[in-house]
Amino acid sequence: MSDTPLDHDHDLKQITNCALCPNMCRFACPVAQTVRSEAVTPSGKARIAYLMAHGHLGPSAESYSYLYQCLLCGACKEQCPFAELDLAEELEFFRARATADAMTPTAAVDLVARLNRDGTIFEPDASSGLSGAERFDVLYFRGCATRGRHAEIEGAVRALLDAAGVSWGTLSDERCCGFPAACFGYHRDAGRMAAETAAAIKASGAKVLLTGCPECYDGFTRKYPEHGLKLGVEVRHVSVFLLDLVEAGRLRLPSGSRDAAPDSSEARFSTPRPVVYHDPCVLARRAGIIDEPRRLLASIIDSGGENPALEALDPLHSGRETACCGAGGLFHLVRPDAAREIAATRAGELEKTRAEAIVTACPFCREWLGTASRLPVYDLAEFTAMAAGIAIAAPAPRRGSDGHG
Amino acid sequence: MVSLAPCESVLAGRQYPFYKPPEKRLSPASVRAAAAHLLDLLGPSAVSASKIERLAVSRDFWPMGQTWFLQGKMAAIPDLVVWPRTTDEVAATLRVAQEFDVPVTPFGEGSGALGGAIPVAGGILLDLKKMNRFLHIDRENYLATVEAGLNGRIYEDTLAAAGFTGGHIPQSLPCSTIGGWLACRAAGQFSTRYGKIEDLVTGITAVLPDGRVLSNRIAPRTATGPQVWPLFLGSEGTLGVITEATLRVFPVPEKRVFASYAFSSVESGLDAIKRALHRGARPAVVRLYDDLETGRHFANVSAAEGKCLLVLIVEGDSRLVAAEEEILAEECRAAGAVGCGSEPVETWRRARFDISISSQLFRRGAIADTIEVAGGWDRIAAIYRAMSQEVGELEGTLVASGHFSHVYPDGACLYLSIAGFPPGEPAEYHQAVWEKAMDAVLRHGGTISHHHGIGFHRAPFLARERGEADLDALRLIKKAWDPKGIINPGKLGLDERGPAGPVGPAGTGADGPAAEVKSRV
Repeated sequence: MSDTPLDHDHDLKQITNCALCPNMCRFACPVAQTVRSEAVTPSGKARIAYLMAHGHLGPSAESYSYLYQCLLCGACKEQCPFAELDLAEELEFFRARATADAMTPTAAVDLVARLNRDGTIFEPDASSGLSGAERFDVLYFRGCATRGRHAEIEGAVRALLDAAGVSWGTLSDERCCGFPAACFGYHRDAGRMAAETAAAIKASGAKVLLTGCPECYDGFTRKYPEHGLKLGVEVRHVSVFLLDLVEAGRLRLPSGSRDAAPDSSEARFSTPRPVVYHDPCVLARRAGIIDEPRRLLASIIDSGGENPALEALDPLHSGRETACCGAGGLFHLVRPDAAREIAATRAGELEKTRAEAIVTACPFCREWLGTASRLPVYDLAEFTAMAAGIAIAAPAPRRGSDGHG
Repeated sequence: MVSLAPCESVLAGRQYPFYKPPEKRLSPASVRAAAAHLLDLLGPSAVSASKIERLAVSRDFWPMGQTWFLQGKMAAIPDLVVWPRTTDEVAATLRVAQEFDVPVTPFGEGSGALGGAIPVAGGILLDLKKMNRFLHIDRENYLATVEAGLNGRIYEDTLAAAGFTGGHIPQSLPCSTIGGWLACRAAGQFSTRYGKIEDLVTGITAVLPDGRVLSNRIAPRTATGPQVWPLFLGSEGTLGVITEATLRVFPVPEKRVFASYAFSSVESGLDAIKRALHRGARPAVVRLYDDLETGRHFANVSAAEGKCLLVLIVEGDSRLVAAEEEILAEECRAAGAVGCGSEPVETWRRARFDISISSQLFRRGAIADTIEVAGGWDRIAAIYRAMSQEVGELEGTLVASGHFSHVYPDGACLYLSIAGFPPGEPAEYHQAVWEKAMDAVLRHGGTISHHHGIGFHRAPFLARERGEADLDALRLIKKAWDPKGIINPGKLGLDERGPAGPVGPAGTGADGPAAEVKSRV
């Protein structure tokens, strides 16, 4: 058994329940549906874990590697009648054992080393101590993915907060929330990063912690409290916070005419329409944030200020039944080929609607769908800024990226 | 280490006469040669000798497999897993298997309850899941053509998006394939209206054991001599491999009505259903629960307390629905049943894919199983009484209860659910349950399987139902098509081949001949 600080006497009851099931959830598992071998189905992974836990199958890099073939997206849990069974959490526990046995996949080892060294899973960002007063009400926590690869998301959020007159700031030395280390079984490292981040958040004196990354949000609202880290702030996801600003009248979202002349004032803030909203898996299933992004999109009104200007469509697999973009649980590090296929499948589902653009609320989804889809892909903050005519210069949606750092 | 040892002694016991200890073990050289050819023909992504992949695919929903798994024991392990992507690749695989005398077990998603997909003879486990394309919806003739490895729930969801239903909704819908449905002669919960799989399928493409491909012209009906392709329905992988199918589909019903009635006995419920069917009603869902299952599943329906609840769904064109609903109501009321409204049907619908009780029972050391049989109206109640009583009286049995869930003008299916704590060896208790149940249904002139099929486990009972001439004819076909007994040996009781799988000293079962080919994949 691993002796990481987050270890505990593990009850194998739930992994056994899963192992005995004939995979009633397999139709919803993007990994099972893409890779198409029994070994990577939810129950297949549970059976490998069960056999290892009881000593019938020796620990090996090969056997452990199957326990990393999971998006941690919760699609299986959504279908599962065992209320206490959370396969993603079970697999994180077994990944911790892999770490203790020094059998973690190389890509994950390298990632955590980088994380420990740089405080981010991507390139360290050059900017720090962005605008904002010394003391502020709202701490905008960007997260590694936004900081490292999505300046357009960060720019949009900053611009929207300014437009709404919000007192906001960022941590001068923002470091990872710890999720990537936890998901790969490095619980000690994750715990340390979480403790450091929690301390920095508390020291900021902010009353509200704002983030646009669903994994960071899930960490702050669920995992930190589970491990005794109290932040003492209200945690909000950007979609919910922006909706509140709109409903309080602090942010107006008119939208220009789609047929406006290119150099007209109306064209300055026209948006593609209709759009299709992709629910990020963690945001929908862990955080339960499903309505707010849609209500935010619905509050984009025409330039007359009266009628809803934007039609936001729902794809096959919406809300709690959403399908992961392929980057869930940093799966793309372990199986980049399968992750790309999963992204392509999801992009196909989104494109089947008559939408002219995809909107989502997660930097990973934005990246992976952006690469996979022929449609432009926007983060919700970015799109909202466009609709509000707030200049972030509506940067061209990023495409053709290599997936991440 | 995952081992095979105790399974062999059970499998070699009296209850499985078609399992023969190998006279000739599958040679490592044969497996190596076959693997080399398959790698050349199909490429490395389609062939694996990985221990984990082989362990993972050695499973279905057979209770003994579940019990042994908990002890870290597998009933069998293949030497290779092969994932063909096209009919041609299936044909190539079977030709290689013939050339090197390597058994092949076809596998969909492993939801079968009778060990039919367990590779008891080792060799190649042919995983059809990469053949999962939805090929075509024919909106003129209301037909859908799909590859055999397509998942049932995904099939149904794809149809729904196009305004159709397949009408075939087994409890295993989320974890079974079209190919599995066909090979096992499946029936779904809505079958009384939409038909069984043999009513739904109008044609298949299948690969014969020698690699030739067979398919039929799609037409609503034909009189072009005895048809060969229907032999595949219920063949359970013993006559070849189904790769594509064309199935009838139906518009999403205009109207759907839920109703339920509480009867004083199963006999009065069965009688009412019979009368309604004889009048021409074809409700989609007809489920009559005995008093035990009524109490277990519908405890909150006070009007059904101590009674037998009938759950009905009538669906289709609104005028047809109105007529059928009226016929059913008349017959139920005439039998003195009490109407219990639509809520029990909602209860059933919400829980119908919840099989969590099975995991919970096995985890606690119990054996849980279901035995489905069928018989005419003149005998099905007696079959129910005999089966439930005699299994119920066995030492260790916690419960033996039943419901009737597929009905016809000429009879019904009985679905018996059993749970028990074995007083001794689990396999002995499990076998005793089956012997009692099969004996009861055979004595009363019913058929030993309505829709789960024969597989490995029910094979010993087949000869008591099907006469010598009948089974000999089937064995002759098998012998003509598969003289070496390559395809799914040990199933349906059709052949003599024993296992020649990767067995070594107990404790090294997973490291047999296949270990030598591992470095090549």
